[in-house]
Amino acid sequence: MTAGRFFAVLLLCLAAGPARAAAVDAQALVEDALAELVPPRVEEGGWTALDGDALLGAMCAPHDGPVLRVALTTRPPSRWQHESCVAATAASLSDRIVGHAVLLAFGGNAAPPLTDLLLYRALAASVPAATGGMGPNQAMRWHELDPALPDVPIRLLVPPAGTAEAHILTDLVLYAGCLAADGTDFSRPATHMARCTELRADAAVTRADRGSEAAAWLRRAGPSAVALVGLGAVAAEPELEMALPLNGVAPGFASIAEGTYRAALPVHLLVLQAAAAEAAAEAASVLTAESAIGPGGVLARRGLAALRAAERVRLRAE
Amino acid sequence: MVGALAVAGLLLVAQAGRAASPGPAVAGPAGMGQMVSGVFEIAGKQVPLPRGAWVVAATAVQPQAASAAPYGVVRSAVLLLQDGDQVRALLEVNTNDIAVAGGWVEPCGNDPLPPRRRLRYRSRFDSSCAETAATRLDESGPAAWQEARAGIGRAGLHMPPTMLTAMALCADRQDFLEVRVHLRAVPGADDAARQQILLDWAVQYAAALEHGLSRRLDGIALEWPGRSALLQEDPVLERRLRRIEALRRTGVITSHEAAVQELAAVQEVPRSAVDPHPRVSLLNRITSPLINLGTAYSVTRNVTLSVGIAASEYLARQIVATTNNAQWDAIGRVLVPAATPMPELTHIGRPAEEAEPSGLAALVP
Repeated sequence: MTAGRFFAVLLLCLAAGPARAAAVDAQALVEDALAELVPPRVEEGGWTALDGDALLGAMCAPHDGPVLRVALTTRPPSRWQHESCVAATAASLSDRIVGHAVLLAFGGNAAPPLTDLLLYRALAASVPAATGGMGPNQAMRWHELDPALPDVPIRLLVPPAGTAEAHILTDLVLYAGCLAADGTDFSRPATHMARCTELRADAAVTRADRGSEAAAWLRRAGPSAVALVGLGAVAAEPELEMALPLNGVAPGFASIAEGTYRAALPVHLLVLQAAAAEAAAEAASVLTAESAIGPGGVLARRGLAALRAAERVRLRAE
Repeated sequence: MVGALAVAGLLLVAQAGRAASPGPAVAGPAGMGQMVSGVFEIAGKQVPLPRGAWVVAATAVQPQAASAAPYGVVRSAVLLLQDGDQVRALLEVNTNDIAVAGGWVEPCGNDPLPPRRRLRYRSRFDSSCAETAATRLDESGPAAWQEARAGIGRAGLHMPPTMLTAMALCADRQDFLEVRVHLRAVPGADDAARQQILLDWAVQYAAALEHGLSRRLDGIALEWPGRSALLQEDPVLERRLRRIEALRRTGVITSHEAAVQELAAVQEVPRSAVDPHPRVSLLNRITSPLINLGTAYSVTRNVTLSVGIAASEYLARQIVATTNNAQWDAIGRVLVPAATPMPELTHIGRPAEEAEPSGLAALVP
């Protein structure tokens, strides 16, 4: 499975030294693809995968002389972070949306109609108990979650940890389902968030590895199984044909772009530059080219849901 | 010209000799039993094939009632796509053999559009439309279908009794090309969403077919409907944007020219011919009565009489104009050189609505 890990974490330093923050588990495929688009200009430079916090640390690290840093991320800096970064580096920082990371569901004939609430109740490690309070999730059949659902085993494939799709699953889907099931505990938000998004570890849930195939897993797991994957998997696996609707909304160009399909996050292109305007323009131009962000482009093949054609053209014209 | 060889044998030979993965587009016309992907050629036109290795199950001509229309014959072909021992999809294509000179009479029909049909454009000589339906795959159909169906039976392939159908048709002054893709329903969206996805895809297919009519399909790859909804917004436009970028990269056009052309490309939509008559009519309807009123008054010097004359003239003009509009098709057939009547095409199976009232809903797993 080709996951979109880089959307959360990638950074390219073209004219400065390597990122000081620790690189974590970089994805060779993605790095190769990006290197194909924007080859490093200096020996020290190159695409590096970083976790969300380290990204901003590396992006905004002090520098000597000209600097050009490029990042793709689903976690853009806040206004305060943006202004702090510009002040610390004495450079300009642009932030543009180039596409979306998206979580998609595929299943067989007996897969249930999916909602945030149903996925939360199927995936979460602890769920509201019938006797009140929270208890371990022991449901093993869809029928146990809703008598209207078929009496077939719960089998769910979830994206590899650390990917943008895993982030979407926990922060958007499961949290929304948790709110619907249990309300919000504002007194202890961190505890509440962890409780909402911790996945069960039994046979009902399988964590995908990088390189594993969702279609093959679906064939093995039976008609009631559901695989939650990114668009990179769809591009790589022709057998994945018709994505299941989530909350009654079928994923597609329009529903993702308009935000009605909620399991999606914008992917931001951050460009920090000082005294390297030409190189910055070239790097941004390559990363916003049709061959990069268009359907079938290098980034799209790795999981980037393309913007609509008119938006891509407008982005390039900016 | 129905092939005499058994399709079953041909399928086995074709599969034994070729990898199951899609190969390069076929450069020339494909024969019976041949495996093709990307493009299928028939009567000098190109038919875009959705992803996969298709087998040419049958080719034939469709007999037409005695006709003086100079298109020779209608050439038909049936292609199939396997998934193990299942028929995953069928594609039937019909086209004229000889180019005509004066276009075709209403290739997309002139009835009010039903909900599952979209007219991409219609002008004097060019038409393009798309439609979706559910088709009951029974024994009815053209000779090519009879041959293909027999071969499918002999090969032991299983075929669902009903399939979803996407139809696309393009016609210009010389040729028409009509394709029906019959798809096995796959799990996923509900019936309404599935219909919408299929209709959107049929429109995309019609756009690709238009390029096949002029043999310019290179660089257009078609996904299946469910995947297309995620991976392709408009394959034809996407090819155009990639080509503009390639021209810019090679220095043939400047970045500014590329930006201007990209903007124009996304704004361009196929348009039906605009009828100039409403603008003229509106002008006439305002000015003519005033002129007539003035002229009548200058002659009669009587307001009542002048209004009566102007009103009578206006009324008479409206009667003539209304009659003209209502009967224009009949008048046009007399005044304008006749286009070639569209052949009476026979298609695979019957609409599922005729066979079972539940229609598309019956296909939901």
